[in-house]
Amino acid sequence: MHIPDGFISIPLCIILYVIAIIFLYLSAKWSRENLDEKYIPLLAVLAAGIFAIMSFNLPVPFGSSGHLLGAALVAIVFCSPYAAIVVLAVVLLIQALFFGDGGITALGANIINMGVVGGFVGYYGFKGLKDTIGKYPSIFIASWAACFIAALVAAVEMALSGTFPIDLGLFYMGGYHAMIGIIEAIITVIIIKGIESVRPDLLAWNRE
Amino acid sequence: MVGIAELQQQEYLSNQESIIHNVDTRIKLFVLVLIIVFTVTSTNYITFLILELYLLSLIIISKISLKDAIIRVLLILPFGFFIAIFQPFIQPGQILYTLPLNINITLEGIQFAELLMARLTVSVTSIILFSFITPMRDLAEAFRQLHVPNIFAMIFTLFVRFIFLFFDELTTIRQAQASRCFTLSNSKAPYSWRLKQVGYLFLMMFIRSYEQGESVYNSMASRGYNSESRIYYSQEKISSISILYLFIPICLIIILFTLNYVHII
Repeated sequence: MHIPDGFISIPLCIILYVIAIIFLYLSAKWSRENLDEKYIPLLAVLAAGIFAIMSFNLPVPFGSSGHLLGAALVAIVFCSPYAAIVVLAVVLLIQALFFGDGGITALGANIINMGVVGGFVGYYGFKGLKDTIGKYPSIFIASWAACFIAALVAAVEMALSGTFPIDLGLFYMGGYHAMIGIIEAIITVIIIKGIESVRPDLLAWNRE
Repeated sequence: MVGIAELQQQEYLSNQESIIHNVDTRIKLFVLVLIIVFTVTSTNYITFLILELYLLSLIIISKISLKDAIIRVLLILPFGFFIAIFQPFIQPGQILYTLPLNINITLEGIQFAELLMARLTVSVTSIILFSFITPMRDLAEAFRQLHVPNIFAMIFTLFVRFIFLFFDELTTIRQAQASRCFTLSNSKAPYSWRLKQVGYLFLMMFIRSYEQGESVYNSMASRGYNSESRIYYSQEKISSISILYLFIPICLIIILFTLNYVHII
């Protein structure tokens, strides 16, 4: 899902950078208002942990593989999509600058797709479904949707840039990430269930 | 995907000594962005070729093995190659060949795929050069010098210090699993069971990172850290080598742009 340099048109890159900067500003504002000073080192070290987790390639049925996004996980644990944006922005910046995983000009797009869309869909999906279908089914659906919708947005961005037709992009990106999304959802449920049993105080909803 | 090997290689090579390594990190970052932005807005193949040769010459001057750099570039390229390879079949235009099932290969599609790959090659080479000459901690300091908002500068600085620790922990856990004959690709164990084990591994990593974060905060707080704290950064003057490192690509880009504009190249 990491869009490389040259695959998104420059005008769209600029627009997406502006949107990403607005969300980063909102995330910084949210951090100042809602997190005490303890959370800055915590978010930093958590980002390092997420970076290591993202390096782990998971086998997906039919011989393919994928890795965890982690946006829904962070958003649900902190009960805020802005936490996911902060963590994912740092992770994506390192990946782009040092490892060529996603482009520099496409960094705004990648932050929006994985951080903003992943975080918002993950958190609000969970929040919206929790009371109707229960905590863990809602975490499952929200994390799956975060991965799936982020991939669809990436496909739309490439279509707007003329790199990949919308129908094929939605089909291939959507199909592949619908599959990876199931793995992401299972892993997210396992992690949050585990946190709930060993360190329930880490989950923001238990602190409220 | 970033593995421990890539991380260690980046750390080792970026801490070598050469005139290119000694260039100010802010200048390196600016040149990286400049070259990539110029590359993705260009459509001229001679421009791509000259920029690629310039970047390769910088790799040689920085005493980095050209072979290592090219291997890294080739390892990253397939990512974009996967999207580029579809272009001849999906872009409308003059049909060159018609394959069975009425699949057409178009001239415009081939040209667009070439353009994407050329842009990607130069962009990836410039990223590899940057990553091989810039230690991550220097970038963290550059962000502070560039007055990036404190929260992001602080998170980035701490992040850079901890990723090696987590990669080490991840490697240790995986080695322990491997010593018990656990592999993800082992099809003899049920897929759901293997997935559960990976979930537990990530859970362990997540809790360890969270608890590590709490310890970091406690040790920082015991040394006087609070939300108003600012991390120290040096106020070094930009060296003449750094100015030259900035000046050459700017001149090169102006010359290439002008020659392209007057249709000489």
